[in-house]
Amino acid sequence: MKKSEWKNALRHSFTVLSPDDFETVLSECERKGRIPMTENKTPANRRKPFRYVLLAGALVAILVSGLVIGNVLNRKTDPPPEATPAPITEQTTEKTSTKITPTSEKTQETTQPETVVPTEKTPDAVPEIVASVYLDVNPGLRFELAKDKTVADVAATNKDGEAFVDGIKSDALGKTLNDALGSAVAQLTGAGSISKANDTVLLAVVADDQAEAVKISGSASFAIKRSMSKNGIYGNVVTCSVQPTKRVMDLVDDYVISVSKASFIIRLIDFDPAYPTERLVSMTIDELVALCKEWNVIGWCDINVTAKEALETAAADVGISVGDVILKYRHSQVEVLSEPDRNICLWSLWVADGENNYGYHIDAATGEIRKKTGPTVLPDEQAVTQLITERYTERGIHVSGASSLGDLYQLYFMDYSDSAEPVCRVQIYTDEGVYTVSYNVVTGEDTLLNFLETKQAK
Amino acid sequence: MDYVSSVKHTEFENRAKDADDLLLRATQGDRGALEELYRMFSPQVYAFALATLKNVEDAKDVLQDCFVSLCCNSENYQPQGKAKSYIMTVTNNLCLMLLRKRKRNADLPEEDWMPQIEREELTPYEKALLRECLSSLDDLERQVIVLHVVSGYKYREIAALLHLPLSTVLSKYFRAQKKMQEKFK
Repeated sequence: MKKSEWKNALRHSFTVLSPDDFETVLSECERKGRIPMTENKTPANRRKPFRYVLLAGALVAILVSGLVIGNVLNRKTDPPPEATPAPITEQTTEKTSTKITPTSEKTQETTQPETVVPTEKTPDAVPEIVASVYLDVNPGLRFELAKDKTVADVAATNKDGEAFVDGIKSDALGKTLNDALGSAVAQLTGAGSISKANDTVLLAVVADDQAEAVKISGSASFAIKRSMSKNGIYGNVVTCSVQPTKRVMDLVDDYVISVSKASFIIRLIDFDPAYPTERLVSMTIDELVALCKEWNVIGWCDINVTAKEALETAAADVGISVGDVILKYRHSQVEVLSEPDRNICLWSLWVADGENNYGYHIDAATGEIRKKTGPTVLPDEQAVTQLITERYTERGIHVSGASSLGDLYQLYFMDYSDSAEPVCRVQIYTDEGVYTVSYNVVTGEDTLLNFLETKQAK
Repeated sequence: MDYVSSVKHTEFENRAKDADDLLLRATQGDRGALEELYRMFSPQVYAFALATLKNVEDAKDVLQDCFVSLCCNSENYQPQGKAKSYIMTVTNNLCLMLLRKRKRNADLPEEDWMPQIEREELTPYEKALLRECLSSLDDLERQVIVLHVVSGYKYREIAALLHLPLSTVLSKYFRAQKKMQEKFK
């Protein structure tokens, strides 16, 4: 049986279960004076032509009995219906507790709707999940991110993922996404799922806020690469923005794969519809990327330019030789931008010539420079540390020491928006704890990123 | 946009316009329109109400109240091709009100309501599916599954209707689907 057949069966079951109470609805609407006794001829009317004769009779009976009761009760009649939109209409207790029945009970008095704005959500507690982060190296995992940016849940997105999910979940819950990803990558590496031969990780972030998704994706990509490099693997992180379209979700449903992998595969199916989907599904991300290269897939993983060639392009643009380039990011990465109208593959490089820092997006298909950031003057590490120390002292904080964040200092975070500016990070040590401060090289502003109390620091 | 998707898109727009038109005509007293609207949406409304309330009688009440409300209180409805969303919002509100007022969250014992869904027209497989859907899934999972599978709602529409982040809807859907698939391999 096909996996999605249960859906059709469920749909059918609910349709069978649904009662045909239209007569009741109609009579209630008539009683309220919304539906007149005269018929409007529509195809639906003609389906049961004689029924309205009965209804008309019933309506007369209602009116007569209503008149009698109305006389008895000093013409106590229903107030006119309110013209409030239904989504913000609440009916009174009497109304909801009065079961509407056909004509026999039509003379019952019911109160009219009162207008309220419903603010309640569904009754059970819902963790506020702001984003889902999909990690796929064949074991597929989904990290759910709570509002406070900690991991609220981890789930396997495919069968291979199930073998790892418990171990990774126990490590990840309550941690920041980057820590959780770092730990997950370490475990996957330990188990051999990430290796020198299989070193491409597919990363996708689904969030309501697209800007936030890009931000999370950038930061998560870094965390994964960092963790991989700690384990001696200098691989790639292929990131893509995904939309949970029907096609994507159907593929996810049918083959129990991650949303990111499904998006990837759909690109390939579009390129060659004859290629068996099952075979694509069974491939690792590395194999899929290799297939993209082999097929020279236009518009997605069309990688004709190697990382080395991209670096040469960047160096030539800066005006120095490759040998003089300082790679600010130890390993260049391929960034896949897969918005509906911009499915391109880019090499993303951060290079420096000793004095200035430059960021490049180089089209992996054509070698064209898509975006350049910089030059930004490299800050003096010691000077920045000194400056932050002075600022914190002025703010009344007793600073016992400070240091730049070693390897992190080398990394210049660049967002994809034009407004992003490079920062470097400094740690300030006090008796109370450790402050991690980000210093914006361009504006000179400092931002407190984190404060770790002494107890935790110890 | 390719030919197939543009045709589908046009079909979708036409259906949305039809529903809009029916709703408007129903508010103006056209019983035929009300009937068509009922035929078109009552399974979806009932399924969602049953999934939310887990009570056959309450779900029937909501179904009735929903269409009466649509007919009597929708004069200010602005046709924007969103009649379906509008109808499901009314249904959701009615369900929430019922839950709030009766202070019960469908915690009726299974044996009380389960026989009421045992219809002869259903195959044993379908009965088992229904039972599983109504008893094994948690409230949100059930709502999401029913809205997506039975009512054909998109994930974003479900998120908007239930006031939930898209990620939560997706994760609830995945979990529910996994439970159902594991049970009915």
